[in-house]
Amino acid sequence: MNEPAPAIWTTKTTEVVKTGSWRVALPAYVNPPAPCRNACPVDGDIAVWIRHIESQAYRDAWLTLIDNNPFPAVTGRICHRPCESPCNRGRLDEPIAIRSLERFVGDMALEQGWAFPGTPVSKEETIAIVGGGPAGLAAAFHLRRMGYAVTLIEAQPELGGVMRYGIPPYRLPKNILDAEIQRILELGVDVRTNTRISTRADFENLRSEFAAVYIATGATVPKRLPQLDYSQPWVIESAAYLEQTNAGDHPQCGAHIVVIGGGSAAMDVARTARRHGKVVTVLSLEAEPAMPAQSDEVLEAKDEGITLIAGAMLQSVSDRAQQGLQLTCIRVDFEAGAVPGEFHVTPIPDTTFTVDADTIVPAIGQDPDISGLHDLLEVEAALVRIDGQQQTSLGGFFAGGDLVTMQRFVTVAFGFGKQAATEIDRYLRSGTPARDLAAQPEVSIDVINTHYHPRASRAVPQLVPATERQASFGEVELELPLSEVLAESQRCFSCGNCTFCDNCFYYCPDMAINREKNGYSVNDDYCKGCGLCVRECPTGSIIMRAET
Amino acid sequence: MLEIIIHGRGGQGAQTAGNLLAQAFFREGKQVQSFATYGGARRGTPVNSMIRIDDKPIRLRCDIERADAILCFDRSLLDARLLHWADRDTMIVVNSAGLRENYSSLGDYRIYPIDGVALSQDHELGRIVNSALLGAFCCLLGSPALDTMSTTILEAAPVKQKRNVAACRAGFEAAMRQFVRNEPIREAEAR
Amino acid sequence: MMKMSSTKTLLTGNHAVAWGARLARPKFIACYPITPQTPILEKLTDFHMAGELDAEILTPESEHSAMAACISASLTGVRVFTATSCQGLLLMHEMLHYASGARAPIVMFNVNRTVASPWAFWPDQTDSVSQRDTGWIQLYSESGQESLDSVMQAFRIAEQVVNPVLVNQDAFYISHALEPVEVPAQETVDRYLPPFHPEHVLDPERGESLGNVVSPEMFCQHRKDIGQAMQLAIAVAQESDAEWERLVGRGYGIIEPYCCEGAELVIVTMGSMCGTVRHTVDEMRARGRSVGLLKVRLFRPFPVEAVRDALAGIPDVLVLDRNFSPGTGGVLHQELKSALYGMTDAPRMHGYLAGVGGVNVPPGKIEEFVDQVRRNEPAIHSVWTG
Repeated sequence: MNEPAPAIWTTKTTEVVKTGSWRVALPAYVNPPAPCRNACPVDGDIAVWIRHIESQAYRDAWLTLIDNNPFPAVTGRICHRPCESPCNRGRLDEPIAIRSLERFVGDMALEQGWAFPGTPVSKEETIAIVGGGPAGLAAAFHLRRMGYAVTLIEAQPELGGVMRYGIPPYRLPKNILDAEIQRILELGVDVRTNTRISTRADFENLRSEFAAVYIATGATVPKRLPQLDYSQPWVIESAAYLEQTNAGDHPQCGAHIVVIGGGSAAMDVARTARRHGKVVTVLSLEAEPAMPAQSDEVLEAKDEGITLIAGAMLQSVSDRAQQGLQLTCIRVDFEAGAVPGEFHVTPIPDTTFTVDADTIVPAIGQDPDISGLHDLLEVEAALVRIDGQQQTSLGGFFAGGDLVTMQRFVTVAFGFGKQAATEIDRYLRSGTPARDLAAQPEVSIDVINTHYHPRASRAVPQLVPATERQASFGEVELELPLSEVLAESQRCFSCGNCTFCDNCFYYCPDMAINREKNGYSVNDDYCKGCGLCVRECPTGSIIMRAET
Repeated sequence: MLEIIIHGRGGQGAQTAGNLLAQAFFREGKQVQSFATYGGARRGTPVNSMIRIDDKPIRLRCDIERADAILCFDRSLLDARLLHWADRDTMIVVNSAGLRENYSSLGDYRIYPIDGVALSQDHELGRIVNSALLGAFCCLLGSPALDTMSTTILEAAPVKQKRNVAACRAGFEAAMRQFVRNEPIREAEAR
Repeated sequence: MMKMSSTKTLLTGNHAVAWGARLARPKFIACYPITPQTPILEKLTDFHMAGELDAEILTPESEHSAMAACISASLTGVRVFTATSCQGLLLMHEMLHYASGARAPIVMFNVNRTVASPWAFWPDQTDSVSQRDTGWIQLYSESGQESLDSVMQAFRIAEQVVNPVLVNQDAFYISHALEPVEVPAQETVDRYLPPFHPEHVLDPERGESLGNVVSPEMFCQHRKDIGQAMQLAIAVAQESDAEWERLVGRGYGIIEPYCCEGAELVIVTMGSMCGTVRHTVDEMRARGRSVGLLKVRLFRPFPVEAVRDALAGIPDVLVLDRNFSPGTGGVLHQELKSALYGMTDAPRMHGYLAGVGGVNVPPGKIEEFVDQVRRNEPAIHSVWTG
C-alpha cells in the first residue's frame, strides 16, 4: 500500500478574520418609504402594486391597492395625484403616470368582476357612519374588513356624495362609481339612505345605539360672495347646478354663463355648461398657475372653448333686463394664506373691466353644515375640531373628510376614512398599538442608482378631441393601452421597495450581505462599510448609517 | 499485411468506403486499421482513406507508402501523384467509363476502369458511387466476400441501404464480366 | 477473478476515449470542441442524450472557462472529465496551473495537434509537452485501446494522489483511426474505480476555503506537497496499471522496454510513433539487428529511476521527438539527457526531431535513423530529420 498523498490545502473558514473593525458607517436594509407613498393620502403601497403590474400580476396589484383604497377606478380618474410631483423618476426625466396605472388596475378589477375577499362580522360592536360620501364609504369598507358591523347613513337618495352629485360623468362615469360602491356594499353594510342626521337629538340617539360614530357629512353649505344678490333668479349655486346636471337635468339659465371660482367645482360647472351649448366665462381670483383646480382641468376647459379670466374679482352686477347682466370686475393680486382656504387680495388700481352675462354661477367653495353639531362638539371656525386620532371632543364620536379639513380632495377623504377605521378600532380595543409615526426619511434620488434605469418618456393618456367633448358627457381621458401600461410600470424606480435583485448580495466584496426570507441582512462582523451595496441598489432599499 | 488506399474528392464518400471495407474485413476476423485525412479537407479537394488489413495486430502508425490496391473515385485524380503510391503489382480500380487501353500512357500499371456512375445511376444513387465501386473492388481483390461486403453495407450504410447493396452486387458482377472472365486476375496476396 | 463480459468493436481513438469517459461515470463535463478532439465531445453528448451518461455537460464559451468550470466542479467533490487539443490546451494554460494548485483531480484528454501558426491539423506533441511544468500528471497513448484503458487508470491515479491527469493521443493516427477496441464491462470499471468521495470539498455547510491568500512559507510548503504527490504518482500509476491488467488482461507499464535486452541501440519515444518503432524493431531483429524500443508512457512525473534501469548498459540511445522546443530542441531528448546525467557508463544520447508537424515517419525512415546513429557521434543538440 502506498503512503497517503499530501492532503488538499484548506485554510478552513476565514471567518476568524473579522474585517468589519475599520468601518465608520454600516449599511442598513430598511426599505425606506418612497416619496409617492409619503405623499399619498391613503398611504398606498404604490411601488409595490406597480411592480405587480410590471410582472403582469394584475390581481396582486389590485389586492395591494385595495388594502388602502377600495376605489382605484375612481382615484385612477379623479385623484389630484399628489404622488406624482415628488416622484423620484421626475428628477431623471418625468414622473411615473401613477394615476393612469391605477385606473388600469381599477378598471381591470371591474371588468373581471373581482370581489373583495369576504370578511365575516367577527366583532360585537356596530359602528355608525354618518355620510355616504368618500370618507364614509372608505371608513365603512375598512371597518368591515376589520370585522365590524357597519351602518351607513346617508341623507341623499343614493350613496357617493360629491362623487355622485358633484363630479360630472365626463370625469367620472356613473357606472364606474356605482360598481365600486356596490362592491363595498357586497361586503355586507347596513345602508340607510334618505336619512338625514342633523339635530343634536339625532346624534345622541346614534350614540346610544352604536359603539362608535363616524361623522363624515362633507361640506354642503355654499360660501357666499357678499357682492352678489343670491335672491336673483340669474344666480345659481354651483352645487345645485351640478346636482341637477349630474342627474341629467338642464337648469334654467341664459346663453352666456359666468362661473366665479378657480377650483375643480368651477371647472366642472363651466365644462358642463359648455356641453349644454352655453357660452362660458370663468372668473378666477387666482392667477392661472395658482388656481386650485388641477392644471389639466384648466387646460382642457380652455380647449373646450371656455374663456378664462384669471386674477380678477367681481365688484358688482348690473341687471340690464333685456340686455342681460353686466359684471363689473377688477384685476387683483392674489396671495394665498398660511392655511388652505385663507387668502388675501389686493385690487390693482385702474384695471376695472366689464363682462356680459345671462347667468352667474358662483363656485367658490362650501363649508360643512355644523348647525346640529356645534352645541354637541367643539368646533373651530367652520370645521369640527378633531385630535390626531380623528376623535372629536365627544367620546365615541369621530369625524373626518371635508367636515374637518380644508383639503377638499376625494382621495384625502378616502385617507380619512381609512385612518378613522384604524382609530375607531384602537378606541374600542385599546391594546392595538399606535402606528409608528417616527417615519424614516424617504428615498431620495441620490440613493437610486439610475444607471439601471434608462431614460424613457412618460405615458400620456389620449384625450377625446375638444370638438367632440363639447357635445358629449362621455369620458374625456382614454385608458392607456396595455403596452404603454407595461412600459410605464417598467419606468418605476421602486423606491425603497426591494426587488430582491441580489445586487447587494453579489457586489459585496466581503460577502457580508446575507439573503433572508424577506430580504437581506448585513453581517457587521465583516462589513467594511464600503457602501457598494448601497451604491448598486437600484431601488434605494438599503442606506448607509454613520457609526460612532 | 494488405495496404489499401481509397482516393477521392472530399464529399464523394472515400472515407465511408474505407470504413465499410475495414468493417467487412473485421467481420471476417481480420485485424484492421482505417484512417483518413480530415479537418483541412474541403469538399472537392483530394482526400485519402488508408486501410491496413492483417492477421496480426497492426502497430504501424504512419502513412501507407506503397499500396497493394488503390480504389480511385475520380478518374481525373488518376495521375502521377496517385501512382506515387503504386507499383506494377498494385491493383488500381478507377471510376471510369473508359477502357484499360485509355490508361496505357500512364505506364505499366494494372488499371481496371469500372463505370461506377452508370452502375449507381442504375440504382438511383446519383453520384454516390462507393457501393458499386466497393463491389467491383472486392471482386478484383478477391476479398472480402461479396456477402460480407453486402451485409456490412446493409448494416452500416447511412442511407438507402438496400439500393446500396444492389449497387455493390452489380459492381461485383460488372468487374467479373469485364475482367475476370476475359482475363483471370491473381488474387491480391497478403504481403 | 470473476469473468465479466467485454465487447470488441471497431472504434476510432476518439470514440474509444469517449467510451472510457462514459465508463468512469463522471458527474460533470465542461468541454469546448476543437478539431481533432470534437468527436469525443460529440460522442459524450450522444451518450448523454441517450440517457447512458448521468453527468452534467456544460459547453462554455472557451477552453479557459471550461477548465475553470472543471476546477470548481471538481472541488465540490465530483468526478470531472474534459477533453481538448492544441490551441484549446494552451488557452487553458493558466487554469492548468490553477487546477494542480487546487489539487483538483480532473482527468483531461488531449489530442496532440500542431500549434498554430501556421494553421494545421497534424499530430505533434508540442501542445502537451509544453505543459510539463503545470503540475499535471501526463500519460501518452499508443492506440485507441490504450487511450480507453488510460482514461480508467487516469481517474484512479488522479483521485489517489489528488492531482489532475492529462492523457494524450496523437491526432489522426490514433484519434481518427478506426480499429478494434475492447470495451470493458461497466461492472469491471465500477470495481476498479470506486465512487469518488474526497476528504475536502467546497460546501457552504462545511466552512472550508480553498486557494486562499497564504504566506510565502505556506506557499512553499504547498508546492512541496504537490511535488510529494507527484513523486507518489509514479508508484500509484504502476499499481493502477497492474490492477487494470489483473482485471482485463491489458497492462502497459509506466514505461515499456521492448526488445531492449542486449540491444546495441534503443529508440526512445512517446505516443503513436511507438507502434511504428515496435514494428520496425521486429523487422530489424528478424534481420539480426539488435535494436529495441523504450516507450515512455508516463511523462509527468518523469520516471527517472525506471528509465535509468531500462537503459543501463545500452550503448546508444536514439530519442525521437515529435515536438519541438525552439532554442533547445526535442523535449523528450532533454528529459532523457537530464534523467541519465551522472549515470556511470551512460549510453550515448542521440536526439532526432522526427515527425514534427505531422511529417510521416515510416519504418524505412526509422531504419535510416538507426544507420545514421551507428555512423555518427552524438550531437549535443537535437538533429532535424525529414
